[in-house]
Amino acid sequence: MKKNLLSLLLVFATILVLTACNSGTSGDQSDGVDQSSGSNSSDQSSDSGNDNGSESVTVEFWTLDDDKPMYEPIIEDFENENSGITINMSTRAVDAHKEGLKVAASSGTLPTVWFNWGGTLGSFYPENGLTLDLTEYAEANDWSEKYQEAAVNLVEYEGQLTGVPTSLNGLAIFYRKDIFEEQGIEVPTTFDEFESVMATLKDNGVTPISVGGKFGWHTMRFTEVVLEHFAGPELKDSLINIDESWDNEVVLKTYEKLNEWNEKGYFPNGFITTDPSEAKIPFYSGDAAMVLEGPWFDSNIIADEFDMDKVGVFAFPTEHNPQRVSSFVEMLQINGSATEAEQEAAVKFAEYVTAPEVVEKYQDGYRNFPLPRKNGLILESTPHVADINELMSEGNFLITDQALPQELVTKFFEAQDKIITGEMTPEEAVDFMAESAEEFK
Amino acid sequence: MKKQPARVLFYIFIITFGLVWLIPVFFLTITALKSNGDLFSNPLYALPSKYHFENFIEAFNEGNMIVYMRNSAFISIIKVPLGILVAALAAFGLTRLSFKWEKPFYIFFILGMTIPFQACLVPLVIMLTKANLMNTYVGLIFIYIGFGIPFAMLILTGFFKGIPRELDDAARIDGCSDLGLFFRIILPVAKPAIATLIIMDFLATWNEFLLAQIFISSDNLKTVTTGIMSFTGEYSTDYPLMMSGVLLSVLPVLLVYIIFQKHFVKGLGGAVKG
Amino acid sequence: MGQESNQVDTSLELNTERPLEVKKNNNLKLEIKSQRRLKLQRSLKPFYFMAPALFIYLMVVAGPAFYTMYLSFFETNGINAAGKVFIGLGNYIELFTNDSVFITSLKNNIIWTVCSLAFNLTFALMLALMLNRSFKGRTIFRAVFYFPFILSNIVVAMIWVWLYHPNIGLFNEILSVFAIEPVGWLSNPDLALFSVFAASSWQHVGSSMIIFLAGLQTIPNEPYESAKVDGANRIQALWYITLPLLRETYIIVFATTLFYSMRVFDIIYAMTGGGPSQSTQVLGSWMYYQTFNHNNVGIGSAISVILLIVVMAVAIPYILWQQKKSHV
Repeated sequence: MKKNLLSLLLVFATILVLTACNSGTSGDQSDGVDQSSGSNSSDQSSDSGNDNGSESVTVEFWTLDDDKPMYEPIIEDFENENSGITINMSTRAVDAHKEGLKVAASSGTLPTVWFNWGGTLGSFYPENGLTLDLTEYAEANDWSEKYQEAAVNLVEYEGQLTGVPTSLNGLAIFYRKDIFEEQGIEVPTTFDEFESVMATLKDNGVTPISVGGKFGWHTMRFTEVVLEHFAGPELKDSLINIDESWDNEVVLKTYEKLNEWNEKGYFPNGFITTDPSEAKIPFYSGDAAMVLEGPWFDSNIIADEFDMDKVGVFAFPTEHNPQRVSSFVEMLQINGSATEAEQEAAVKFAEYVTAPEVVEKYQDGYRNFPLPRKNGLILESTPHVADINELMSEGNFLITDQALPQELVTKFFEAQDKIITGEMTPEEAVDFMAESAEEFK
Repeated sequence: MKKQPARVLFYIFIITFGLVWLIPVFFLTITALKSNGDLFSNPLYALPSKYHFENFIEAFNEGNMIVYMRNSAFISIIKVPLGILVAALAAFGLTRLSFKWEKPFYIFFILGMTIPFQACLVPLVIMLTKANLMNTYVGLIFIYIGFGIPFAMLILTGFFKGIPRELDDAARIDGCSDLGLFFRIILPVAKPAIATLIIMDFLATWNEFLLAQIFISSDNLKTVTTGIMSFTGEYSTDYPLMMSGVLLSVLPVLLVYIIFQKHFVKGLGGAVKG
Repeated sequence: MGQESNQVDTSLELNTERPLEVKKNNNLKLEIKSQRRLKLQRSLKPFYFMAPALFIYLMVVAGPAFYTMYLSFFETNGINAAGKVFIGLGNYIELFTNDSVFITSLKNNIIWTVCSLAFNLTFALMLALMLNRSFKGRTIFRAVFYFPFILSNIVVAMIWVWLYHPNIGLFNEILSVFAIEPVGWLSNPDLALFSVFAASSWQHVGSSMIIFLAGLQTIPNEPYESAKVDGANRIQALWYITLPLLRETYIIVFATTLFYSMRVFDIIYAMTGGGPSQSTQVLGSWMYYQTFNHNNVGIGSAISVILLIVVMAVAIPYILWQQKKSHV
């Protein structure tokens, strides 16, 4: 007899749970309807989009929280110009975006178009056949006329064009003009000169370079240019491609140099675990004279209310011809298994984002001014963007943490970190890298 | 009379200790009141050169904090009581019905606390996608309740077991059914445990962001912690706005704490006797 | 909501129970059968109460966890279409024989857990005892010590990173007043883990303290009064009455601390990113890197399983031991 009672009870409890949940849904649905088109309604329209073909298409678009203010007006314009296309943007913080994509890839729920980095950071998706190869599209749409060669090269991965480039970045030394002037320092053009600049700064009580070593990639920006200097473009590329053993004299020289700079105090005290986004603090305060950053740094200078006139830019002198700078792209990747109409709309949108008239209209709203287009706009408010753009056109190589396979990137960071903390001698670091690279192969 | 100096010493000790304890919070507050330029050109521990109270307003409006806080409040208000009810029913079944497999089931439930969220993400996304519950609160609350069960069970079984059996026997003689026993005797007696749980559960729900970030993608459905995280960026972070957002987001939790802490401080002893 | 359901339940009970009872009395033949059924019902009864929790728990936690266990025997990047190869214990062997970071992580997890259990528990208990005394303003002090727990991990990490900042942080500034060399709180690989631990303790002690406080409330006054009559001093009363009577509370605090410290992840991720040179990596963070950065979903799953096994090895004997004691 108790059984019946209890089963009734169970039913009741379930109803309770369900009603509670339902009130939840109805609540959020009405919210969604109130505030925008809402996710549910758009789901339906994407379903019906399959049947109606060209009539209406919904493009699910995932990107970083950072980019939300930039994209919002652009999407509005785009939707106005292309009736029938709805762009449904969702944004996340950087790590959450990476996670969200991986999880979505594993569960088959990727959006139509998403933000990604280039090289091995973003290659997971094309490698697993999840993205649309844009090679044919690019040919048909004159990408070679529209986009800079570097940008197109950098979205290429193993013979595929894996995305539409939205930003092109090169790394250069930002230096404090006023400090250089005060101490009578000229902009260095050779590696030796660069070293003597650092020595002078250090003697005068200024930390030469500000670095944030947490995560490893900020320190890596120095390791890679020093390696470029010692190895030269050809050998460095074959090292990065693991065609050449890392048990090489040039690697040893690089690590010895890193160790020497660290011991001489050319980097800030305890930099190995400071956040890369805080590396600018001693730079602003004048405790450090140089940082190795990209075109976005101009936007930072403006946001942080620092004086743009005090800052200059030069390429790290690798003493090679071409003088290459480390560079990378960011792009929008297109879902390979979306419907044709969705893909078409997504590519159209991805190109529209960096279209000259759009960039001109929203020129002040960028946190990182987009450079992938040819003959792009040059702004006076961010003078170093143009400088870097010019440096990149002389020559560029893919930044190391996107060029090496990700597992090897972790090892690369570990090796340089251990040299800094004194846990490894440069010789040991060379062995460690050689072994890791060999094993990976 | 003898006690007086000891008391003074105690006060001096605990006040100093409390102040030291709050240093990081002090940090948080002064950062929230700085401008970006001020933050980066002076030492981090320096007082603001000018107090920017408008940061709070900016976080509230531009940072969309009001929407995020409303969303989190909505989720918490549904999730916390429901989760506690579900766990309390289970804890009751486990501890007060002379259940044969009490121990194995107890351990089975409790071990859930060790499982990292990340390890469950992919199956959960598949499940919610199939149920068409991605990017809805129903899906998120369902998952929250699931992950909340181990901790709630831990607290509740502990307290339920401490309640004397005589109470059950007396209630049964009075003709109470199991369910009556649960609602009329056990739950009221376990009030302090439930108050503790409400505080902790509310807090955990309010602060959760790993799951919320994955399962909620629409901006108007985002929760408060994901909202705060959106102040961090790829190349730079707006620390003052973020810290203002943090301070704003802490207020409701503080309120819940203040309301419910009285209940468990009143004590279990009295409840058992009464 | 609780109130409402309460009332509805009792009415349901009245409606169903009586007619059933009448029926039963009328049908004597079925007496034995129904008695057997009754027995079965009694043993099933706990399951009715556990059903909602079990269902949700199996769907959300246990099911996915078993799936993870299953994945740990494969070499896979998580995409079904790409080659998923069964390699038996291959991932585990790889971790133990060929992954130095994993070994460091395991070691760090153990250090972290032992420190948490030894330090946080003692400290939280001391705080709770102190704040259980009646004095003016104790509510405020309780809130003060509990406050850090209200903040999310990421925020705690951010503030403490700034306190530890090598050049412009508060701690090194204080040291410099006393003319002490700056300390590499987070940059010294031998020290970094403990620096992060201190931040984490600051955040978590309050939560353990609150549970202890709740536990202290359950201790009745009588034992203390009789101890006073017997001439016991404060410390003796603490040792012989308070601590033994807190047993159930220990289980809770022990378990939460153990589980949290085994699963620790975001504070380390946010404060050091596992660095310098992987020296602060823990199982949780290494699992994250393996899964999300290296796409080694199989390896990441294996790490989760190992995490679970380590915790079970500590937790199950402890829970059983405590339960035995409490039954005597």
